[in-house]
Amino acid sequence: MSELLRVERLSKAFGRRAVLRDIGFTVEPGKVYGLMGRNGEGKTTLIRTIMGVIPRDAGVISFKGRPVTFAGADYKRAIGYVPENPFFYGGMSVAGILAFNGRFFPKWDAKKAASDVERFGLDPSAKVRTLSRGQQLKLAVVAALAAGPELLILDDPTSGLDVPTRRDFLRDIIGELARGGTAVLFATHLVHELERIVDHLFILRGGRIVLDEPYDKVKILARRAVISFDGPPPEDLDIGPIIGRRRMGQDLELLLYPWSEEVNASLRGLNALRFEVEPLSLEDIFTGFVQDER
Amino acid sequence: MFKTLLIKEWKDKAPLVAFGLGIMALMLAAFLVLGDDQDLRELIPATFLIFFFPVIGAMLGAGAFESEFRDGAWTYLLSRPVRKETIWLAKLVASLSILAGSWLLFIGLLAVAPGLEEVVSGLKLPDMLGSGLALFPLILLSSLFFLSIAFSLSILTDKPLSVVFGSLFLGFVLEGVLFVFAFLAQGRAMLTQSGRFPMLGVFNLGLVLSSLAFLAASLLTWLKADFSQSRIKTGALARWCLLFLAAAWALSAAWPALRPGPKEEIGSIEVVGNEAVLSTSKGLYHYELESGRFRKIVRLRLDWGCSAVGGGKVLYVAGHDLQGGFELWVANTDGSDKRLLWGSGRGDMSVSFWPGTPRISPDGKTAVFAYEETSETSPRSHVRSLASIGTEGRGLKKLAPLDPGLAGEGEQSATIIRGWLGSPDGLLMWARPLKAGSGPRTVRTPYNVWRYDLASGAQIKLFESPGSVSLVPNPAGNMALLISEKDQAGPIDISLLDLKTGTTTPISTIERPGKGTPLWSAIEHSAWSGDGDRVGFLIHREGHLPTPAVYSGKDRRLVMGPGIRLQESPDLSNGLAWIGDGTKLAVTAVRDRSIYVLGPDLALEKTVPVPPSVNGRFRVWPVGAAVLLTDQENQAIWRLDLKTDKWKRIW
Repeated sequence: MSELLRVERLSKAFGRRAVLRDIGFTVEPGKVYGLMGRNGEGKTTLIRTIMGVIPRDAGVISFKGRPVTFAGADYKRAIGYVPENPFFYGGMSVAGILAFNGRFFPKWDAKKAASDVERFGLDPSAKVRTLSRGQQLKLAVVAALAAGPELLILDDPTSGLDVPTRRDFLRDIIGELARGGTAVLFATHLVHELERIVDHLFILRGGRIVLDEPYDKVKILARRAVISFDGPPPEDLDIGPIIGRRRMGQDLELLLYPWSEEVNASLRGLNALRFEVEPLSLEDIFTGFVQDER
Repeated sequence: MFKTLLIKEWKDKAPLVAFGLGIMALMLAAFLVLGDDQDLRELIPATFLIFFFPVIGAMLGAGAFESEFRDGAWTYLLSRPVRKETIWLAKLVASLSILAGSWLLFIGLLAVAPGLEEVVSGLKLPDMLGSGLALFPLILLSSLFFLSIAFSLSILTDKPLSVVFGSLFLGFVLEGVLFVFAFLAQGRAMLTQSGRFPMLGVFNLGLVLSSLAFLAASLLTWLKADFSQSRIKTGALARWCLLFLAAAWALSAAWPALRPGPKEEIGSIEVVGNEAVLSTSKGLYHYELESGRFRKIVRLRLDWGCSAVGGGKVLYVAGHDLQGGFELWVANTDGSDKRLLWGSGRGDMSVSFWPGTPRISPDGKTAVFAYEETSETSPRSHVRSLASIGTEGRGLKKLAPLDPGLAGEGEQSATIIRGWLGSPDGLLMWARPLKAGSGPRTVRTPYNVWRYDLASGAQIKLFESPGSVSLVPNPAGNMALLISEKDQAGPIDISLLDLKTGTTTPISTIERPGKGTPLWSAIEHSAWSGDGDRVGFLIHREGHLPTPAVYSGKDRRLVMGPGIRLQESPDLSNGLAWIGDGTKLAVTAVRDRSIYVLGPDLALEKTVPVPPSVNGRFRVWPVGAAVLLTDQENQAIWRLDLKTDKWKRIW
């Protein structure tokens, strides 16, 4: 099965405010997907819709080729889910919540859970309500990993983790999972952490996916061009796929995607004093896609 | 999954269980210590019942989703690989099981705490709320109701205390409204149908269905609504609650009409010439000569399925009216032109039961019925009289009091109307006075035969007998077969009584088959032929087989046939009827499971076995050229084709 998760024409509104509009993408095993978007762009809503926490207004979600309903549950056995905020029952202990959680997952690995509890420095006897947010996130990660997921969904968890854990989690754990065939869907707005591990990028803006490409391709085809003019830069430039622009005096910075020889030729034809082209970082790409023009 | 969730829910509710046990222990201790005080003895359990179970029900329901609100664990719970309905069911079962456990524990206390059961079983609601209604079952039902309300509301808010108080308030209001609703439904039902309306049944059913309505609304909201949007969630719950509550209350109100009534049972068949009307427990049916089947003409709940046929009309008594009396109706035998002749809502007369009533004249123009005088201070007098009324609904006439010797001051009479007399219109009555204060089994003599002229009100004693009397008038109403005795040991006289003049024509005198054999066992099953000339009966004499006999008024001759070897039947269920063209007698023999057909000379022409499935008591009814057989045990009616001797089941 080359396709693990497929989302088609997914829409969701809160009242009159449309949060997701005709979202569509696929997730394949063994890859790390970065789901990027500014705060409030609908990343959490998309993930909660996939997880059946909230109902969708329209669209189809399929897991391993089978459509899943809002009431459906079986597909969740193959999904590990780490949400943005801690969500466990506060009265249970760390060991208790893991034992409770394990009963829902047929592939639950209690030894791995115990080992990860130790690895993350959690006290098995501690009540969940006494844990810090970071500790609860670690517990969520332990619970998600011990379920033996085919798809791990991470809803921006790293901001709550301390630096060593974050590094450990991003560099070792996710890489290890992906190599083992697990797909990872990692929603975040902290893009520099994603850069090292991501295989594929989704960028959400205005409720739509505005970028759905392999990261290697994006790296090659995303360029920054700084163009110096003899006077104010022109208002309108007909040079193709500008995803972002910034005026700096007589200079104009353009973020371009996808870069091509035709775009290069267009830049040369501008009669600028000079121009420089360089590759973009992931942060620049993200900024270009999600930031309003200035 | 379910077990895992259920155990978690039970653990969550452990503090509430401990609280409930503590309150129950306090109540028990208070009852045992203070129970000697008569006031406190009732007050303590009553207060406990009224407050504890509704409150504990509301608290259990209110806490259903408390941990998800408290710990923000909605996302955790809903993202687990477990179906949403399983989560909901586990929460409901946990709450219900603890509530049921508290019931059982209290019932256990009733068994072991001295005097507690006696006090609790004696606790009743005030009369205005339903006289004599036991408090305990209602409280248990209410606790279920409060639980369901609180359970459904608990998905809306993270404030369980608000849910508890809100549920108690809403529950008490709804119970009050439901009670008024059931009361009004009862009033409406009494105006539109006969029979007792089960108001408390409607109320209790309403409580159960309302509980289910709240739970169904909760489930649908849980399964369908977006829990991240509280306004949508609240709106969805409100919509489902209103919809299901309306359905629950409509079903409760309709339940008395929808519930299956008692099984329809066939009664007697009233035959006059070619007309036959079957009474059952659910209505009246007319026998259609052409199709050979019964067709329903009147649909009614008959507490007293009494009908009379005459002149193409059927007279019948419907069940209770608003004042608990009966209604007298008339209709054509094809079911058309149904008309209410009299009900207790009219005047000071309440239609009542009297053996042999109501009666309809052979021309179908006059009806006679029994009634009781009613007044505001005394709704029922229990003194029955007779009245006549035209079948078009006019001309009500209270008949003159019966002969003082029969129903005079200080005396009662056992009077049975035996038939309608020919010209002039009148009633044939068979009566005997009862001594004041005498019991029903007291020997009552003499037996008198009276003629009551409806036009003049004259009451004429036609015959007086010191012993028992059997009286069967002919269809024309001018002659009757009179079987009488002077005492209970001597011979039995068979004669004809002229119903106009009262003169008797002796036919025969027979000895009893055994010492002390009652008159009605010695000569039984008298039946007049359709032309009113011949009367047949079955004579039992000592040492003889039962002998069929026919007396012809035209020939002035008694013909006795050969004896028939009938298996004696102690329940007198053999019978005799004129069949075919009226020249043949059919003797039914229940034990032999056969019908013996006798020719004009009373010789046995043939024996027709009854259908194989008829193995109990049965009766035959000649209707026109057909013979019908009613099988009470199997609730079946068969029609005999006299040409082929084949039976066809028609009921």
